[in-house]
Amino acid sequence: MKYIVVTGASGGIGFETVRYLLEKGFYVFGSVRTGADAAKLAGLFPRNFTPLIFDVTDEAAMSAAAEQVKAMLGEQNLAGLVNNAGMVVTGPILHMPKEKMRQQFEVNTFGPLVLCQLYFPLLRSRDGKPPGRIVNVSSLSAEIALPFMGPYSASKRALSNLAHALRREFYPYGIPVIDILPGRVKTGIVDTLAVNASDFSGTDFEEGMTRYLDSAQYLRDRGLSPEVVAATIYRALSDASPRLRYVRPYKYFSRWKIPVNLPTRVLDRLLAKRLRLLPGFLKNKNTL
Amino acid sequence: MRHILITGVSSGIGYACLKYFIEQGCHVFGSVRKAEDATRLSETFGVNYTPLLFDVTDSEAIRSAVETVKTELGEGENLFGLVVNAGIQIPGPILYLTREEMRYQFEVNVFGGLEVIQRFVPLLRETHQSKPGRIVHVGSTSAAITLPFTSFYSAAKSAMHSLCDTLRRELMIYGIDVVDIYVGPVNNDLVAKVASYKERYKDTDYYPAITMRLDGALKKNIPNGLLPEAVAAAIFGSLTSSSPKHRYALNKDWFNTWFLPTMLPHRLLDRIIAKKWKMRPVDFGKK
Repeated sequence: MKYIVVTGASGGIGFETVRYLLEKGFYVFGSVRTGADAAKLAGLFPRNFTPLIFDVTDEAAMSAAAEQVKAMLGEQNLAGLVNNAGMVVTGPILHMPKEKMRQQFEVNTFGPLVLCQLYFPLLRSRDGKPPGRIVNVSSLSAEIALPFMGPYSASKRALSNLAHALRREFYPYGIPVIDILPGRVKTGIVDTLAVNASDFSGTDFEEGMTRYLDSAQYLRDRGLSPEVVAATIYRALSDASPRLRYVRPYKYFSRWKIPVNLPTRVLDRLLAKRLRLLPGFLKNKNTL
Repeated sequence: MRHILITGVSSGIGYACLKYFIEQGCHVFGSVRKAEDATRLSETFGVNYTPLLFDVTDSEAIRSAVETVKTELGEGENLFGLVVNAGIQIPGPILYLTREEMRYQFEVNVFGGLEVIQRFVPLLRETHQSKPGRIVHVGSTSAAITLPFTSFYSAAKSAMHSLCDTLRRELMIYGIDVVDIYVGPVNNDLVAKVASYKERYKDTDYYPAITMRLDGALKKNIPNGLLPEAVAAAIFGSLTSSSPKHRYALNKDWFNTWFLPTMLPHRLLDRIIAKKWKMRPVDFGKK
């Protein structure tokens, strides 16, 4: 039996990953934040599944959960840690409160790192058993910073960057570190965006934000299905020689190859035009 | 008169920028954290330098610095440039860094840097007589080349790189351009200052590797690095150029510190690093 820890299992990519891995015969520990979600998942997955309850910002709960996993594993190794839990903070970066920036990085960047530290003793090779793997679910936003996605893009960029550091520092221990960059996924993230939009009315970015949210609504049901990402996570955990990075764009050319290969200044203008960020769109010319 | 604001001017690249910009006929607002530094710099540079006393993690102090700059700027004047330079480096293996240390690295280099930009953007905007100013972030090649034991510094610099992309796209509405400068190894005392950190890891598997990396840096990379004056000149160029690139990579030994590490396949670089610093599985043995 191979044991995997998946964070953020209550919905979206995490939930699908748990299901996919169970089908493939793994034993899965899935982290959720509430007791209600834990009970729901335990009901849905009666066999080979143990819910863990912690928020990636709560170190005490994370340590307690790691102890729980350790106790259940006994002498066996952990085959993988899937750092999937994440959140999205959006809005014009000029008006982004520091507290929101902090929150974004606490969840998307520092949390996964602390989990790598906590599960390291279970992942590393012991008594000749092969070491486990670390799979970080980053985002295409790490490579393409779209307007109004500043905090999210930066936190994922930092996470993807840390994957290189982790890979190199864990190299002597034989622990592979794999970075997954999914594009737009059909999950409930749009609903959390709508809440944030009203915070920025009255600024020079109001029109751009509105257009941005309209497009988010339009794209609501368009995007990768979470199963695609779950299958990629499975590959990262099971391929004999995994790649160091799996990129899964929603549309290969229009959302990956073209944007990353366009001259940056050209992409800047294209994005700015679409989101009403060119100087001509500025309504209130008064300064100071 | 061109007014330029630089954060972290007490030493290193910030100080070199301050000196160079004044020589080019600019007036510089430079932030320092200690009052002694403000006095010392004022004595050296006289009227062309206005000290600002703030730590980039202190929101209140930044706000009052904005007021100082506002009153100093004449009618119709704006900031010609904002150089986001202040930063720290917290080295160490990821396995042993505390969450507090991760936070602090980002608090200074990312959240602090961003807050400075947020507060000063109104003063960079176009006025009836001046064109909009420009923002330059003093980044690092470690945003693109992640080496062991400087992971969080790299992560912070790459987060700032991403934020520069966002800022450049969003601030286009004000005509404010944003340039990120990847600075390679610099001949200054930044690494020497933190060299003692290795003692903390004496009892870990990483100690020999950390020692080798530090020795290599102190004996080879740093003495052969860029001079702060050269970095200052490049920053000035990116502020004054009529069509700047969105990113510059400054390296003295361009081939070895930029071209090779960014062009080689990652897996190959992994092996080279592991061999160089004795971080192969055989070196760590079976424990």
